[in-house]
Order: sequence, then C-alpha cells, then structure tokens
Amino acid sequence: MRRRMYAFLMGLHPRGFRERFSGEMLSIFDESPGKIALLADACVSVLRQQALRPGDPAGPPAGPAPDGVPVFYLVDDSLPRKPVLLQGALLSLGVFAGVVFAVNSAGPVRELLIGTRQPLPRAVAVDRNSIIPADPTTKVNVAEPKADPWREFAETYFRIMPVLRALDTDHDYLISRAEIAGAPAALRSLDVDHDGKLSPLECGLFVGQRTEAIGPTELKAMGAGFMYSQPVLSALDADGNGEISAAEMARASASLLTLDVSHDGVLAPAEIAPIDVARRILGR
Amino acid sequence: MREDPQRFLPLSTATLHIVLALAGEDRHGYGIMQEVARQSGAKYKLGPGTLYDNLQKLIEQGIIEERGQKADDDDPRRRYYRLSGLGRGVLTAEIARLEGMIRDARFHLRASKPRRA
Repeated sequence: MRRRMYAFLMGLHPRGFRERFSGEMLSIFDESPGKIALLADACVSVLRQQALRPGDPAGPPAGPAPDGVPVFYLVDDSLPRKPVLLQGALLSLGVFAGVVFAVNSAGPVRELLIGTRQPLPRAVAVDRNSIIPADPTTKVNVAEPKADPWREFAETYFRIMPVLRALDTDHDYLISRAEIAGAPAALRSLDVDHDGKLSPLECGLFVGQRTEAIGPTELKAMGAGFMYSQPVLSALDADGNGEISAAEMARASASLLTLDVSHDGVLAPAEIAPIDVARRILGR
Repeated sequence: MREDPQRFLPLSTATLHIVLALAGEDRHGYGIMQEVARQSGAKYKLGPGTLYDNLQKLIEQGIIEERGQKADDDDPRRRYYRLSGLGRGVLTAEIARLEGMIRDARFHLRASKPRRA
C-alpha cells in the first residue's frame, strides 16, 4: 500500500524528473526503513518540483504540413508551465478564501460585498421563509390618533358649566361668531328664577346638599370666588359683583370677545379654560 | 572554456554533503544517503527528494557525472554518480573558503577571549 502511494507520488513529478530518477527513488524506498518519512519526503519533492523547478519543455512547434501550409500558428511558442499553473491555482485559492472570510466576518466590509449572509435591516425585511405557506392576510397596526387634551377638557368643562352649555348651541365645544352674537338670549334662558340676573348657582356653582346650611354671606363669598375663577363668567360679570346683571347679559357678546386672544371671532377651549387647567395642559 | 569553480560558491549544506560523499568513490543514490548520514554522525539526513533534486542540478552544472550501472549483479534501477573535474575544483574551492572562515573564526574567538586578571 505504502509502495503504491510512493509510486503514485513519483508519477506526480514532472516528466523529465520522473523518467530520470523515479526508478532510483523506488529502489531506495524498497531498501530503506522509515517508509513514512520517505512518503513525506516524496510529497515535499512533488511540491518543490512542480512549483519551483522549470517544467518540461514544450513539444516541437507545429511544423508545416506536407503541402507547405502550416496547420495552425501559435502566438506563443510555449504552453503555460505547470509550476506557473500551480502557483496561479494557489493564488486563486488564497483570494477566494479571503473573500469568503470577509463575507462571513462582521464589520463594514460585509455591507459592501454582494452575497452577505445576513440581510441589512434597511433592506427588505426577511423574517420568515417564503417557502413555508403562510397566511396572506397582512395585519397593519395603525397607531391611534393622539388624544387632544383640549377636546377632553372641553367635553367635561362644557358639561359642568351651564353658561357654556347654553352658549354652545351646536355642541362643537367652540363658541362661534353666531353663538357669541346670540349670547344675551342664551344667558337669559338660564335665569330660572326670572329675577333678570344670573346668580352663581344659576351659572353653575355647585354646593351640593349644603345649600340650606350655608349662610348668605358665605354663599356670596363662594359665588364671587367661583365667578372670578372662571374666565367666561369673570368676563360676563364685568363689575365683579358675583352675579351677571341684565345689563351685563345685554353686553355679553362684547364681553365674550375680550377673551378672543386669537382674534378669529371664535372662542376655543384654550381661550376659556381656567388658568390652572391651561397650565396643566400646556405643561407649564 | 573552463568553468570557474568560484561561480558555484558557496555550496548549500545538501550540495556540500553530496559532493563530499562522492569525493572518495563513485556511489549510487542510496549510497550517497548513507555516506552523508555517516559523515554527519546521523545529524543530517538527506531524503531521496532532496538528493535527486540536487543531483539533477549538479549534473546540469557539470559538477557531477552519471556513470550508469557498475556491476551486472547490481539492482538495474541503480545508477552511479561521480565527481567531475569541475566538481573536484568546486569542492577544493569550497574547502579553501571554509578553511578561511574557520581561520577567521578562530582568530576572533581568540581575540575576544577574556584574559585572567
């Protein structure tokens, strides 16, 4: 077996060397102990002869045919030598190994090479195998619209404030030009005791079941505070006496327009909100 | 035109051992390997690949000549090699070069030897 391997290695040598020395080398193999060392020596010899030593000379150039016309011409008078081919093969293998290493290694080089194993996040998302049957229904999650804090405030504020409920006849939480113009009539509709003016209780002051227990002085103070703290009521109660008189109701449209800081003729929730609520919503 | 032996100097270790092995008598390849092992006290072992690579080069340079078979009862695959006239000149020149080196080495070693106080 070892001798066959040695003979095979002899066959891999260039023809000139093989024909001249392979018989002698085989005779040495037959006589010497240490066959493994001789096999290793033959492997090195093959590489040395093929890579470093000049190859066999090319055959004779194509001569003229019998009729004097050459069959074909060679641009070069020699074929590529085996050592050159072997060196080229080794060089190609090295370059190929380098490219494979660069493709498989992490780093910016990978993004520049075609055939990277892992797709880039910004490229087409590959998160499932297309071969596996999957539900074609695509679920698209759309983010819910961000809640408008002024809208949320207005829905509650208009509900607890009878004056605003009466003014906002179309219930859009905006006091429009027309609604401002109709403010006197709307306010008069709140005068349930028909005394010609609106008290804090008629304007929305809530004292619960304590109404009977609260004295007139205390009730008047609470009413004044309530009327003062609500911008709409404060604007309507021009004289600041804690109630909206008939004259003040008649001038209600002009009074309400003093709150229109945006000068668009419409009162938005932000323009009629108490100062503490506005600060909370605006985050100041 | 005679070749100048100096052109081939210095000889490599393998070449020097092969030329030395053939200086005494003609030998075949295996004989050269055994002689090289004997000369070096088995410290330098020459494989057939290295041996015949060097033999090919030395034959092309004319330092060694091939003699063919020596005896009828010998292994017909064996070929014998001998040192040519040029080879003897090259070996002589190499020995002279080595002697000069040894002289220089001895001189420097003597010069750098620490003296006793």
